[in-house]
Amino acid sequence: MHWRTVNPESLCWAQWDDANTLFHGETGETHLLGELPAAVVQLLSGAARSEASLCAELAALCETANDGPWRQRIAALLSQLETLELIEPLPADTP
Amino acid sequence: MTRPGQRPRGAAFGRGHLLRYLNGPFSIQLSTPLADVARLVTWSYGAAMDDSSTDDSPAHFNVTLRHRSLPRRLLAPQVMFQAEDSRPLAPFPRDHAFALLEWGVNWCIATRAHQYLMLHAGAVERDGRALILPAMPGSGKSTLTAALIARGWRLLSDEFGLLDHQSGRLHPLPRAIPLKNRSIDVIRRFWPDADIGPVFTRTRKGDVAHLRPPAASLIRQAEPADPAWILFPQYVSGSPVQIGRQPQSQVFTRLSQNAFNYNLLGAVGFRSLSALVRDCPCWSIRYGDLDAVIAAIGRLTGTDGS
Amino acid sequence: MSTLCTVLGHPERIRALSPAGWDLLLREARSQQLCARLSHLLEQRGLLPECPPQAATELCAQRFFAEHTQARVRLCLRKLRRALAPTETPVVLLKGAAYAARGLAVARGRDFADLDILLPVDKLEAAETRLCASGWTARKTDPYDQRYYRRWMHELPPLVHTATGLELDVHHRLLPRTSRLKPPAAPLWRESVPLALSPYRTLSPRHMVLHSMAQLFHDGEVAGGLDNLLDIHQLLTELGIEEGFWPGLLEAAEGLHLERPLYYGLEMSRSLLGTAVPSDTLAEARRFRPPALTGSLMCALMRNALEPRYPRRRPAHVSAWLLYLRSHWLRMPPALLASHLTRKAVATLLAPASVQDTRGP
Repeated sequence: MHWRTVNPESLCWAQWDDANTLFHGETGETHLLGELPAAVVQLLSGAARSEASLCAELAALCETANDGPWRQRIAALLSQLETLELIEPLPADTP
Repeated sequence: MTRPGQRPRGAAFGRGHLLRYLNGPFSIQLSTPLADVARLVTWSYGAAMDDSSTDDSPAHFNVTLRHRSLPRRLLAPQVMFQAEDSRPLAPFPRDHAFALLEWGVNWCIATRAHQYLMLHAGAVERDGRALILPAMPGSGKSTLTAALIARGWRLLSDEFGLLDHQSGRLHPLPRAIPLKNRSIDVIRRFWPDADIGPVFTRTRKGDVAHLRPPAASLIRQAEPADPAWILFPQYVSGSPVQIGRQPQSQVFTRLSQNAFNYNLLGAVGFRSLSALVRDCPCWSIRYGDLDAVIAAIGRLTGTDGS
Repeated sequence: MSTLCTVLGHPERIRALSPAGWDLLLREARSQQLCARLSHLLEQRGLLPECPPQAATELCAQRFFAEHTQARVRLCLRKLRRALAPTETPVVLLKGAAYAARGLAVARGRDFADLDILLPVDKLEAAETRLCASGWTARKTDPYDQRYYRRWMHELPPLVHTATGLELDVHHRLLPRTSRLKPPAAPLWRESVPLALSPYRTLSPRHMVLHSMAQLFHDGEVAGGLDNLLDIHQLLTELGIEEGFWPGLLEAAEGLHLERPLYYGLEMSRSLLGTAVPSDTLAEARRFRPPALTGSLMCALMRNALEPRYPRRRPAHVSAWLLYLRSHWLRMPPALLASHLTRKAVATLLAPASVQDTRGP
């Protein structure tokens, strides 16, 4: 499964000490994101990634093992972000 | 512009009164047959009546305040507020007409003035810098605002913090400050020279009396200020002053829910609010005594001359 | 002729307005809730700098409502897409959502209350099942109302999504079943146009225009307002430059049995807003004029279209927002979520108001 951020040009970020607030122009919603979800949205704004490579990239960033529990955690996070319409899976036929 | 001592621009016509006055950036044209309301408006905002007899630019808000209907007038008289073709508020008892007018103007501002991010907050100014007091339950905001202006801060607003999107500055909206129940006496004791209007009894919120906006605040109501500090006050009887620094993400969250029109403004509101939170340190302050909290505020903001 | 009509049709006439004229223009614009759209019309012609600053600020401040609604519609359409994907139902967007999706000039500053979509009649039941499983609930909870909708309107009752609060009206025909006019659905589908990078479609340009005209005038009465008329004016102005549009419009009107609304739409738009309609099209459309229509009756109908309705139906979110506004003053402010939110990794700062209530305050 490949993922990308929904209309990244419509994002406005504000970074605070302990969290990030994010305005998503596409939906008109404001979100409060911790560091990990913020990193996901930022990475996927640049280029689409497969779930596997995202897990690996984030594990490296967070200096943690890319193991089963980690991948489950990321999967749950991706599902949550999808519900908020911040990210979406790429259509199967995308080159 | 305003000049103190200037005769208010209003006209009595037929059995009615037609007044034109300013509330901050908004010009209001009021038509009412109620003489006591006309008097209270003049008492409250007389220093800010439009002085130009040739000023025929459109008023921002065209409002009327009149009796509800003839039969009701005899039984339990009520008054009705109307803004052009809207009647947004339920009628009030006749005795509380001025309070209804003030609510009505609040409604006009809140539904139309989206060139501002409208915080639900009091604000006072010193040396061109603004202290913002977001409205929260149990904050005693109005009492605290009144006490601050008693001690020399300029009143910017009691109800609306008008944050201009483009300049980021706070625009004054000095209005009559409604004091409720106990705080009427509290302010009378704290500020013996306070100019307080008639007490309206048995309103929805108990006894309500209005503190007249000081002439200085009206004269300078076209003069914006730079937001500098945000303070979440919390009144707890008998409590010593306790101050806590607030994390920015929490401040952003609280203010986004506090502001009347944050959601409506989209990206513009987000950017305005982000800049405000970035530029202004924020504290919560618990207090039980007005003198103590005002001294503490002076120290926090560095305006106590130290 | 109202000041607002004059300016909507000929924006450059603001140059001739006195202060009293501006007062009247602003009051009418507020009354008809056309401030934002007027601001865009003026901006398109480079006329905003020529407006008194206070007027320009006032008009532009109303744009936020339209932008906010359009963002919520985009959110709702994303959820809709996911909900309906398994059913492989084609969906045609109608009215405001279609204008916005197509990037038409008529969409600028245009606020609207509901999201209207068209589905094929045989997909209705499956769609409803999917929608209700995906967070939509029927707005009218009274069982009598629901039966009424299903039997007489042959539509789904209006649905609301808990997240967006926007009302979704699912149609399978252009006009209510009880209407005397019965445009067939088949031509609508045949001519419908897909949107790029989207599963959604819109009506063809000529059908879009006829739909708007049918909103304005059907069953012998003027049902729309000046905003509806402005829709027609702007659609005709933008879509009318396409080759073959005008003869196609006449032909399509006959195909959909919407000849009468076409006649009224063209005549009203032309006389009140100065829409440029080719004379041969007008002459053709006059064939559809009702024989009993007199000049004075027509004037009366046009006046109807101009009168602001009181009480006006506000877009739902405006009502919801006003409710929220009053709650600030009449009740305790909403509970603080700050500490709770920062413990969660992800949260969305929701508007505290329930948006179920669309009655005015």
